Amino acid sequence: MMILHLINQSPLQHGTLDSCLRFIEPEDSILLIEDGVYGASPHTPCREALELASRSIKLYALEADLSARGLNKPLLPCITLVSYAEFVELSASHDTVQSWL
Amino acid sequence: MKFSLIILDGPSSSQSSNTALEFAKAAVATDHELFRVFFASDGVLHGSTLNTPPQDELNIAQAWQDFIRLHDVDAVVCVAASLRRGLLNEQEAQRYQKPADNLSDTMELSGLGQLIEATLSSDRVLTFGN
Repeated sequence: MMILHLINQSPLQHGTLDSCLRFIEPEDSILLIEDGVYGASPHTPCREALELASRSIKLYALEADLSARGLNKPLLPCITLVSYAEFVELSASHDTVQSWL
Repeated sequence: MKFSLIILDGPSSSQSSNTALEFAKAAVATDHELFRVFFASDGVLHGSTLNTPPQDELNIAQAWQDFIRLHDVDAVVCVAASLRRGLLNEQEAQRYQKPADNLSDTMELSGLGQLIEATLSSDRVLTFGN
């Protein structure tokens, strides 16, 4: 089952991205939204785990939330930016969507 | 594809209901359908007609109500969460002998059965909150 994991909390304050990276399966994807986009920064505490995970899963971040926080660049190279429309299409192309609240 | 959305946070407590609204706009702008939007917990406060944030700030509750009206979306506020937060429709205001009602006519007071039905009838259910 392909799961789209939504992370909306900063890895500097919460453990949801770290926990998600421990449970994720190949073919799943992670989408960083809201304060979760702090995970797309090269200074994220989850950098090693994200780079390792990116060998088997796709990592996305919502561009509008990165822009709102002035985090557009530099970004981790393994992160793909998406729009709200692409967020909708990712939700449709995965079997289910899991929010890590 | 049919989507349903669950909104858990209040209008002034986090960004999440704004994310949900932008998702909803993007979904209806393509060929997707919104089956239901279910407001639970503090999220029910989006149903109040009395939210009055400063005029230079986004009134996210009003924005949701306008979107629901424009696209004729099925929108439900959890009745138990609503009553305990002072969100009442005319019928409940009369039942509990309250001096006023404040639920937007774009939303319906109902129970978790509506949420279960939404999960069964939708292809995808997304939860927005913290």
